[in-house]
Formats: sequence, structure tokens, C-alpha cells
Amino acid sequence: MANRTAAAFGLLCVIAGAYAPTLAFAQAEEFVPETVTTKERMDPGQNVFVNMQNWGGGPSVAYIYDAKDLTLKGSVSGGSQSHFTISADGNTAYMASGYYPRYDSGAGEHVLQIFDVPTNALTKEIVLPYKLAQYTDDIAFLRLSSDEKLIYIQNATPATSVTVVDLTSGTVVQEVPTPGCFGIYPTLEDHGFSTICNDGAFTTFTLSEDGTSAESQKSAKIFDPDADPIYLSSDRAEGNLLFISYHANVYRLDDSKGVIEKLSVTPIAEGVEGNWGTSGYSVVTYNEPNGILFVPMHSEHHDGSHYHGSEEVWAYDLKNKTLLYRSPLADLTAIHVTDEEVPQLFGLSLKNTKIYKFDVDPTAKFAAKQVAEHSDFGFATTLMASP
Amino acid sequence: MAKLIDSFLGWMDTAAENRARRIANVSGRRSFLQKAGWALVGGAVLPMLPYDNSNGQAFARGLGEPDELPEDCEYWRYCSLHGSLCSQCGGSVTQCPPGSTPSKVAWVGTCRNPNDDKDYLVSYNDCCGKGGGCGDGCSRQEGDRPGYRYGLASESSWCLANEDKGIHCTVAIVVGLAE
Repeated sequence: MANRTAAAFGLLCVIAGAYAPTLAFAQAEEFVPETVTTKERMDPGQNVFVNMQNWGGGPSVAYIYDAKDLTLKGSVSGGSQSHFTISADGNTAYMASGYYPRYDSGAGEHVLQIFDVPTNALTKEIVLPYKLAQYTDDIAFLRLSSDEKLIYIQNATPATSVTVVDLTSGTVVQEVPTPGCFGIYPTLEDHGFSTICNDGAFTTFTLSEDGTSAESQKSAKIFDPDADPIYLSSDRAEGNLLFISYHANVYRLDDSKGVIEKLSVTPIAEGVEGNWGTSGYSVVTYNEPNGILFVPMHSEHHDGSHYHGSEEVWAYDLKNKTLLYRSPLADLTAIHVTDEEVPQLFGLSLKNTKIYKFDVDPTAKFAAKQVAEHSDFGFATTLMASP
Repeated sequence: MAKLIDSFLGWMDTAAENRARRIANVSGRRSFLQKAGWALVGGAVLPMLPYDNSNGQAFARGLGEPDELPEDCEYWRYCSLHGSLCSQCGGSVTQCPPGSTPSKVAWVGTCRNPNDDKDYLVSYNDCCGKGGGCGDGCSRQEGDRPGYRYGLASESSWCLANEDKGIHCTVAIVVGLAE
């Protein structure tokens, strides 16, 4: 038995010895060393952008997620305390931010950077006046003109003004003083913007075609900043501007005549038990095809609770002034709904540092149900989606 | 009154840096104040409160305060605070930590003192020029308004007018009685 085992082992060794060089050679032939490359373009498809502000002097990042499932597809980065926006087609991104070489001390620079979204590539930089608003981000701080030839940038030193940049020439063409007013709400036609003022009025600035000059007109008082303060957050509804107050009153404004006019005020929480108020930062988002406003809300609201996370997101039919549905979506501090017949709703939670996607069912009173989430973006209060 | 605010801000923005440094260094952090969005005045023109600088702390007399001030967000003078407590970062309720500089501008809250049931104006100054988080973060933000009432806007960096932009922590200075 021992002899037979030894003989079998010997035969195996002979066979292995005979084939081993061949096998090794075959492996060596097939091995091709890897080389490092860069993926040239993000995967195609609809994108969701989240502007993560760095408040420690370091880089801010706008993360780009796949709208389908929130897979992280790419990002663009800039300096500290960034403000961010995208072109209407979603292919160009703009970030205004601060670069502080010593992070915490010494001189710095404020810069507008322009990126090609599909490649995430930086395409242009424009140095700005050293006055950029160092403020929790809102989309009202960096806005394109309707023809995307100019971009308007919020300044605060804390004296407030707006820097106007000609994107064709890549130059700063004007600084518009906006004393006592804050936020930028571009007109839908020509060049110009409105801004919210400390007495509850709005001032509308009409700019020349080249953006180098401006004329202003102040509105009547639109809201009471003491009794019913509005957020900076806004959206468009059938061409009108929508704002909402801490106390969940929706202000519908017309900015088409060179001066802001109030069209209506709709108290969406009136008659609802529980003393409900608005929750968060990006709090006004409107689905145009269905005429539905989505608002993050919390109960027992009180002085100082306006930036708290949501308990629910309300779907409100603004045309029929009807509260349709209250989805139990907790801890959201920013939301954005797409302008599609079947809307997609996206939300941010500062508490959980997550982005969420919710499917919205138009056949069920626009109830929202979570279908995806992604973590790791950090401090963010604004988000937007490409078409 | 809005024009007064604007003109004051403009003046402050263009001409007051050296003066602000002096005020900050000499008078504590009573730099610039706003009451409820309609009065923004400098520490130099507000009634000065007598300050007790003993034990490394400076706090206003006549507030009925205990010897040892609370170090939590529910402390009455933190009613509009949005930041981290300098008292836990090597400073005190009214003192920036060593190596940092009080912000030259500040937002203001109106807080009810439970010791005497009076409302006081509290100036919230960021301490600037240092990085790194420290201390409990508080976000009561009572009376907060967006930047269209900038003197009440707790979401702004208040190191924005300092050369050194780093935000370290926030102090709360009682600067006057609210009317």
C-alpha cells in the first residue's frame, strides 16, 4: 500500500513538473499591468446637486448624485462657505466661495468658479470683490439672469450689495448697493432682480442689457418682518414668486412689472390642529405640472424653531388652496421637488447628514415615500436637480 | 430707522476698523448692537453697564446672576445664540479664548432674565482667528431673522468684518435693557 501511494505521488510530481513551466508562462503572458486613468465623463442621466459648505476655511464641495437612486456620480469643489447654482440645462455649475490661504487668519480671496458638469472640469475662474456673503447657503445668493449671460452674487460685509458678473467676458461689471436688503430673485425677462428689504418691502433693480447700470423701484410693504417673517427660500409658480413665512403663510408675488406686487397670502396651516410652522432652510418647492407646493413642517412651532427639522412634509394644492397630504418625513431641513408630471422629491437632513429621495404619488394626494438615501455630504442646506 | 441702520452699517464698513479694534480691546465686546431690527447703535452710544472683571469673567452687575454662570444652552442670555460656548473653550461667557479676537460686528437678541423678569439686549460676538470646534453648540435662535435684518441674522458668520475669518466660538454680552 505504501509503495502504491509513493508511486502515485511520484507520478503526480512528474506530471506537475512537466506542465508547471507551461502554466507559469501562460500566466505571465496573460498578465497586463494596470495603468491609472481618469474617467472622462460622469455616467449620463438626471442629477441632484448638494452644496456642502465648509465653514472651517477648507474646500466646499457640490456633490452630484444620480437622481434615480442617489448613487454618487461626481463632484466639483471650491473654497470655503460656498454658494452654488446650475444652468437651466444642468450642464454648467457655478460656485462662489472664499479662499483663505491661512484658513483662519490673514487675507483671502473670493472667487467665482465655473464647471462643466459632465466632466466635473473647472473651466473658468473670476476673482470677485472681497465681499461675498459668509452665510448659511440659500439659492438666493448666487443666481443667473434669465438668459444666463449675467450672474448675480450676494455680498455682505455686513453692508449688503450684489456683484454683477458678465459671464461672456468673465468680468465684474457692477456692484449694486442694496442697503438693508438681502437675497437675489432674478426677473424672468431681461436683466434684473428683486431683493427683500428690512421693512417688509421688496426692491427691484432693472439692469441695462450689458449689466453695467441699474435703476431701482421699491414696492409697498409686502410682509411684516416682526410678526410674520419670511424665509429667503423661494420658488416660481406659473411665473410668480412664492415665499413662505415662519408661520407657514405663503406669499405669492408678481415681479413682472418692474416692482413687486403682492397677489395673495395663503395660510396653509390655518385650521390644522397642533400649531404647525415651517421647518428648515430650503422650504419652498413647487411642482408646476400639478400645482402642488411641498413644505417641511413641524408642530408646536415657537420663536426660534424655524430652522428645526421637519416632522412632516405637506403637499398643498395652491390652486385650490387645499392641504392634500401630510407625509410623515422627519428631520428634513431642505427639500426640492422636480417639475415632472410624476414628481420626484429630494430632501436633506442636517441632523442625519443624509440626502433622501422620495417617490410622490399623484394618485394618492401626492403622498411621499422614501425610496433611496445616501450619507456623507456634511453641512448642506440647499439642493437642486437638473432636468 | 432702516436708513439709520443702513447708514450705520456703511459707516462701519468703510471707516470703523481701527476704531472697532479699539472699542473691542478697551470696552470688552460691546461692539455693535441692534435691537429688534430697528436700532443699530455702537457700544459707545449705548448706556454703559458697569462690568465686574473679577475672576477672569466680565458680566454686568444688577442682573441677579449667581456667582457661577451656567454653561448650558438654556442659560437665559443664550436665547438667540447660534454657535458654540466660549466658556467651554478657554474663554468665558463674555471673554473670547486666548489667541482669538472678538468679532467687530455682532447680532443681537432680546432675552428675558428670570432673575428680575426684565428683557435685556444681548450682543452675540463670534471669536475670530482660530479654527477647530469646541464647546457645546447652541441653536435657540429666538428672534432670529434672515439677512434682510442683518443685525438679527444668526446664520451669518460674524467674523465677516474681521481680517481673520476663522470662527472659533461665540460669547454673549449683556449690553442694555430692552425697552
